[in-house]
Amino acid sequence: MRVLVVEDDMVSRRVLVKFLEPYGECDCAEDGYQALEHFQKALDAKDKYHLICLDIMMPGMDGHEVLKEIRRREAEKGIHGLDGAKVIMTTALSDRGNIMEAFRSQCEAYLFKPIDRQKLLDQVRSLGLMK
Amino acid sequence: MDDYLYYRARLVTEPAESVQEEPVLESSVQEVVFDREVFMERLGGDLEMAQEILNIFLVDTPEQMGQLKQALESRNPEETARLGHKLKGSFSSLGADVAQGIAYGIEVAGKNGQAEEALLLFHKLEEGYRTLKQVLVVSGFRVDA
Repeated sequence: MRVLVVEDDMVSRRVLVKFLEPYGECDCAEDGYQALEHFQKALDAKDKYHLICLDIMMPGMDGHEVLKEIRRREAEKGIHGLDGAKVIMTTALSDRGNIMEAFRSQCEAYLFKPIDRQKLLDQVRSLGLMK
Repeated sequence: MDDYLYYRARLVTEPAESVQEEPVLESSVQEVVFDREVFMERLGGDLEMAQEILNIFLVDTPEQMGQLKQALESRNPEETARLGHKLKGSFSSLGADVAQGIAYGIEVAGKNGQAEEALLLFHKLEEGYRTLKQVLVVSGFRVDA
């Protein structure tokens, strides 16, 4: 499994990587722009990410904008629906309002921070990315 | 939720002197500062991972707080809000509710251009960070990384 963790806070980023690295190869991005660079590179190399953990609240380009751009670029390459990267949006509990927006942007799931390892792994399993 | 945390943060950090006089805090206060049980549960009980995450936190946080101090000194509200938001995330990763609430207060003060309020909260955050380190030690973690 190829994973991209997008999170502006270093501690949160490392926590997610610690949780996921036993199950796949993890790359990290500190902001939306860096995330799209990684995403495009992987897309061009035909070595796309299976899972993207995407923080919603980031300065500059937020998670919603990043996700819209990811789906747009996938569509350009003829990648639709289930063939696209599975995206789990992460957000603080207080950002519930963002969740509906996230689903409109076609994410597969969301998790509230602080992230619980078991909940994350259950979610990844339910997306069919690991047994 | 954030309002609640902010409220708790103010509540717990209010008697600043008593925290300094009495390094070992009451267990109920400790839980609000850092709930070891909840933290470990989130990590599936992996003690080694917990210490690793704390090591990252203990290196990263003073750096971010230094940047925040600079932003406050140069009266830069956008940077104050940005760093308040980042610190909120870092403290949230540990489940450090009090410090998370204070950092959120700084983020809001930055967004509203309330420099004095942000500075006041920054001092509370410094104090909250010291208290958090005490509680981490009491909880059996190393803080010398």
